[in-house]
Amino acid sequence: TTLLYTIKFERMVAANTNPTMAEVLVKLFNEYCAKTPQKLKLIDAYLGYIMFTGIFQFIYCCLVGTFPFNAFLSGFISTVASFILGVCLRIQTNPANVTVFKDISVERAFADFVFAHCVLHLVVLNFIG
Amino acid sequence: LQHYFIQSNLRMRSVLVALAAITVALSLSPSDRLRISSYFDVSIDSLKTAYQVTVAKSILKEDVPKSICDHAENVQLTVSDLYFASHLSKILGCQIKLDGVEEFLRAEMAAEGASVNTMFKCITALINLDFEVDSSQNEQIAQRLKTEDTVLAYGLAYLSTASISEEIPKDLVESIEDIAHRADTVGKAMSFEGGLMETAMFLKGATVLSQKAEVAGLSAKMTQSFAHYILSNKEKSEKSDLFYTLIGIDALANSQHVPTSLLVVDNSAVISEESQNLKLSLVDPLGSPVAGSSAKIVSASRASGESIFSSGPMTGSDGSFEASATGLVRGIYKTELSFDLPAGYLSPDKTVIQVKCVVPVILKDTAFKLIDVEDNRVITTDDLSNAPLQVKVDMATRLIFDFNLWSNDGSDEVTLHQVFVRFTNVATKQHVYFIAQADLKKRYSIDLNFRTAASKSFGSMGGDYKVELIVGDATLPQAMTTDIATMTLELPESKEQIVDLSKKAKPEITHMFREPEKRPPQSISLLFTGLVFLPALILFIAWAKLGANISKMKLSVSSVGFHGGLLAIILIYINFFIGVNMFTTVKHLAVAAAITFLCGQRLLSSIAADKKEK
Repeated sequence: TTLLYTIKFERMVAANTNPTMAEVLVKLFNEYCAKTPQKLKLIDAYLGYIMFTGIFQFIYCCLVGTFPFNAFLSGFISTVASFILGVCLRIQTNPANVTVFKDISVERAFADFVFAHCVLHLVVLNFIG
Repeated sequence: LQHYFIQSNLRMRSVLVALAAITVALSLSPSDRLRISSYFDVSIDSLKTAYQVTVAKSILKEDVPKSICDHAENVQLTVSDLYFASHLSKILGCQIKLDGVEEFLRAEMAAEGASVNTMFKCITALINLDFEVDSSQNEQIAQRLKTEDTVLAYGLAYLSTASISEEIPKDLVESIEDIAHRADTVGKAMSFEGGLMETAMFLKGATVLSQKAEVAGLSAKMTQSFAHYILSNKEKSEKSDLFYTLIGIDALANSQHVPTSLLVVDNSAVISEESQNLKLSLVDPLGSPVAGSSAKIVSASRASGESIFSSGPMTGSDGSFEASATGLVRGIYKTELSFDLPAGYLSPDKTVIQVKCVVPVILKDTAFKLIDVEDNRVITTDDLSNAPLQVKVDMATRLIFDFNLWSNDGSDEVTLHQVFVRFTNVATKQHVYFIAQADLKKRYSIDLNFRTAASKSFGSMGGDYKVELIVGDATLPQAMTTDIATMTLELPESKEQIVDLSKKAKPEITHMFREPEKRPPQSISLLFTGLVFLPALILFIAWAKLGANISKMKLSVSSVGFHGGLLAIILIYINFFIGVNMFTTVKHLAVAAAITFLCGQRLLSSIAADKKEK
């Protein structure tokens, strides 16, 4: 699929027009694939998974109503909080931000991530009822 | 189970005593005797029943048909049967046609390890059948009492010793009071844990022994307390309960301190013109009058001071007393009495009785008026000499009814407790009541304005009404009802709802339980459950494609510990979700978290160290 997109982009460059929205997005995507370290891509995949889990739960709630409300809330907030923790981990382990997070090593960030998740899931499971 | 039985026994006895505290006279009234006697009029199906009926009837001093003796023919050579049969022989003179009775009983009595119960039955049987029992048997009884330290054993021991000895050992008599202290006191009543049978048999033993030793084993107070308990059982319906109640009553009637009770005879505490004498009876627990007793009226006055009986001795003697009323003035009189009793009889609990004097009243100076409110003229006025009147009223009418209640005992005008005017709707039978108020001159008056009363009190229901005056009071021989009028209430057709004043049941309220919330269909829920797992699947595929390097994971202690610990935490959470409570979860978590933390820290620092090396 990466090859396909590269071909498409080259065709567009050959057309030599002002970039459209689609062209911008494609360029963004290609830059992303090229420049992002593999570790961050793993985290991004994880974040995407969390996001879709949350979206599906929300659609279900919209469809069938909020009973039992606590179950919906705990599930949804679990995804939201997990997403946030994942973003935190990504920020802290991004090599581009090393100057900002001097004192926090990658391992420490990961340890924080794991610990926060343990606490989060305990609370979520308690609230889910 | 034993403990529960004792608890419930005590509770039962407390309830009994609580009930008894309200009403118990310490004696059997004539109706009580009839009732109890009827329970022993049953057909006799066994030797034991024959024994119970015979003993009960002899206590009540009633006759027993001689045909009961037929049951003595089926007697077997056992201690119980011989015990029962011996009573039939003693009381009715039945013959026991069995050989070897004396030898058998003596052998059983002298046997090694014979219980006090067995010894008692053998001794009683032998004595009833006119055989001699040596007083040396007392030692065996006393020996056995040392091991069988129950209240019932002592009671039976007293009975046995009393029947075979001439000289009663002093310590045995003194033990009566000691054993009596084992009883529980609930209110005024005292009873043993073992209940009615134990208390009755103990009482019987104590009184028989005291009688023989001519010393009171039980104090007067204890006797009175036991009496309260025994007599609280007289309303029972089980034959065995009534049997032991009679045994207890018989013991009380023969004790050194006989409790007495005051009964009012023939409902004579109501003095009226027809019945001017108060008749009292002082009886013992069995209901027999106390011979050699005399009574005196200390005072018999009502709140305002007048007396109905003159103070002084009452006529009569030997338990039946009478006093004549000195006058007939209506009222309720508190009559205090005092008694002179022969030795050995206790004064009754209740020495104050309420005597009421009833005198009828008549209506006097009645005035019945109907006034037209609009032009204030009097429509009707009558003195009820032509009662009942026929009147018509409508919304513009005012009804005024005045009267006096006249008492012939010299108090002239009186005010009484319940003076009502009642209107009864002839068609629907509904009643409307109005209370007549008396003014300072004791003139009663009812003032009804139908403009307001028609809707407020009569529910806007027109029609024919019967008007009556109802007078009631404790000092009237019976309530007085006088027909005053038949009233036709004319009301316009009202637009408002006619209230149905009759008392009917209201519509039933069915409790509506909260309806359970509507749940989505199962298929949709399952679909979304699957849908939620879908991104996870895609994640693993993406990770694989991106090349997550699982292979680079080292297999070391800390690695295993860390990943194992995380897995353990996940399992603990799943366990919590299934149903374990938070306390257990946190407990497990503390252990798992400690391991995970230690291993994790080691693992991550080793990774960091490795990275630094690179």
